[in-house]
Amino acid sequence: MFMNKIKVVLGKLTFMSKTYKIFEISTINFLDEVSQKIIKNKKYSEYTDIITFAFFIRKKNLIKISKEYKNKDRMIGRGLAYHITPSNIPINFAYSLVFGLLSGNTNIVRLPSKNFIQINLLCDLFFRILKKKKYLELYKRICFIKYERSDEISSELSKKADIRLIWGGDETVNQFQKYATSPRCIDLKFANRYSISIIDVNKLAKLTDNNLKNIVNRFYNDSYTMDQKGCSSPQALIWIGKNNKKIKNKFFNILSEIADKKYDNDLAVTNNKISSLSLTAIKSEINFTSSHKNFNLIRIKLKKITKEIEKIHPHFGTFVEININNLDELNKIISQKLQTITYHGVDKKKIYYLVFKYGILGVDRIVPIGRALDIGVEWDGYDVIAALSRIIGK
Amino acid sequence: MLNYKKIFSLKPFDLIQKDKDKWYFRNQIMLYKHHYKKCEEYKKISDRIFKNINYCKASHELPFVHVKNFKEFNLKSVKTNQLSRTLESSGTSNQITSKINVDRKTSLLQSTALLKIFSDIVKKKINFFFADSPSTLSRLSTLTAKNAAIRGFSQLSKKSNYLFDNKNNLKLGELYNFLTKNPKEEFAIFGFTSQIWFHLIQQLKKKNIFLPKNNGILIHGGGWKKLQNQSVNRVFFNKNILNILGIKRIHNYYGMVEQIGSVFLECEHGFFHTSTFSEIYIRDHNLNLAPNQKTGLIQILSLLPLSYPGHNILTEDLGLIVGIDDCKCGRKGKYFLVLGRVPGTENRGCSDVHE
Repeated sequence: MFMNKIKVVLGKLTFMSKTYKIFEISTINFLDEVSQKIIKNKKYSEYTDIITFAFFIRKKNLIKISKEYKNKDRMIGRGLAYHITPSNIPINFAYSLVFGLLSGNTNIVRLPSKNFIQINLLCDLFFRILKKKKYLELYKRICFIKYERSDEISSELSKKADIRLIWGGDETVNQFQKYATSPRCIDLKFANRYSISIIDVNKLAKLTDNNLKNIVNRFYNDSYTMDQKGCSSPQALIWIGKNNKKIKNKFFNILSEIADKKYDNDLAVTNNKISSLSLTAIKSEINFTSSHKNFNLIRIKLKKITKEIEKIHPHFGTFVEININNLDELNKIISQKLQTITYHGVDKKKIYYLVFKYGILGVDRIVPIGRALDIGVEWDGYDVIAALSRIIGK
Repeated sequence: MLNYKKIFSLKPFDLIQKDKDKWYFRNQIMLYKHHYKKCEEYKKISDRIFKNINYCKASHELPFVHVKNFKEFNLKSVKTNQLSRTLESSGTSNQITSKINVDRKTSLLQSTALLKIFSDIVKKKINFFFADSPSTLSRLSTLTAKNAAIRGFSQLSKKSNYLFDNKNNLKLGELYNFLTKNPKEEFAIFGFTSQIWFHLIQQLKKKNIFLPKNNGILIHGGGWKKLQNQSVNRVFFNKNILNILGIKRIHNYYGMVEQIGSVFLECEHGFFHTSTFSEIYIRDHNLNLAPNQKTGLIQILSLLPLSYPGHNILTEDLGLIVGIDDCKCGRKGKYFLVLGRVPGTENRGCSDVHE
């Protein structure tokens, strides 16, 4: 019996498939209460991912997001959402749940098997607030489970689901595609992605030292957080404009200094980095050269501008550099795999225009440098709320 | 090509570091050129992530292969039809094993070097008792590091005996016979560290067997990981061994399937030693050379591998160099300690699979 092998961490595993209006008020109130508790309590302050999450679920922010949905009075959830969260990003399950709740669904969330402190902290907090009488109905919509990898359980849960949110990349997506679902079940699949950053060299050269440091610091947060392994972490730096070696070197020198101070560059990281760099060197079909002053920052230079760059991502602070003269050249490197473009000194509208002009399959997100990892309801090309809900036509 | 006649004519532990460095560098450059020409993967590593060889002034600047690359790729510097066998690391369950392609020549160099290194402690041919079953050797197609070691040591032995039968039951008859007939004669027991501890010693303990005082030596290698999991350290291990086996000396060695033959012998003071065949560097978190006494990643070089680019390897082991030329045992060159594996970092990122 598969139910025995599931450990329920929070809520009850009832397979209830009831739906609710999107942005329904008790959900917003609950999330706001969670947010306030986090912001007021010092014990969460060291977890930047929890703090970012808390700001995302503030009532003010959620109301602002809800206003984007002009038809929200005719929109309702699809039923039972089954969330398969990645094993390595502690906070991902919380965002996934928020998406499931805001879109009016009942949720079964499979937590990573690893015991992340952030997950324990949030589960405790959720429970303390959910047990209040006013959230009786909401509590029924949340169930956190854990189980060892099991085809039986995953396939049984898939059968019952009205929506599946499959995080965790290509391998997980392929795995879950094997399980049968009901004909109307909708899958949100989060496959492996690739992200880049575009910087206008001339604009960069004009910045004051302080402003330059500020930009580099944001770039650091986008890339070195999570060892540059996030699907929206930039792997390549596209320099646009006249080749100005001096300003590029300055950019990287500052980046390396920041990494020296902040990045947990221990022998384990060094080992993984050199092993992954060797692997890339052997596997890559296009030629490249790499250089570093300090091993915490490796620059990879390509002679050719090609879509193959998406295969060069050794992580841990390794950046492929490409020079282009105008934005149109981007068309040569953007593939379907490209998710996020972070930019500085570039007109974002021109990138949109480019995507439309060439009918590009990639580019799901264009945000300023520093916001690469800010997950939101528009993610990976989905309007997540719209995708997880139904609209009652008129 | 390298002048192996010259290399093998040297005493393995007599070169002082200053004299060794230039000579070793010249030999390593020849090996570098050989593998660069013959192994496409090594060429890519060299071209893409290392500086131009013309700017290299010492062995530590030459391109190395990361030990994981032997698991990810089938690296070889000879044509497939020239290979005599493929060795596999004895990885624990669900680990991917390394594939090491050995041809006749490399194989011969490896066993000759092993002989040379151990002739430092085993002066003449003696009886060997392998803590293994004879069937281990009979599996010919893919050989493990253990097999290669047994083969190497067989050349040092007057007679090879096995302490386990093919069903892995303890079989002490031959050893008892030997001890009764020649109580004062020198002999050797060889086995992997974990096998010695978990099979031989534990079974003897269970049966409450203590061998009489004898003139045996134990040679063991293969790593301490499994023993460390049970908090068995070198001191505890040695104390138990001496007590139960009644032998006079224990020699551990450090080596890996990627560099069979040029192993690092542990001296009576507990330090591993480089030989004329080998070299060691310790790398810090910036991959720069770490000063003596500082812990870092172990890089090991060997003059033996010709059929695969195993002449220069960055391992995932942690260690530190204790000193150079001045070990109390009298052996010259670098001496060092191995401190276990570098801890794996958490895998983070979106594209990591749910378990």
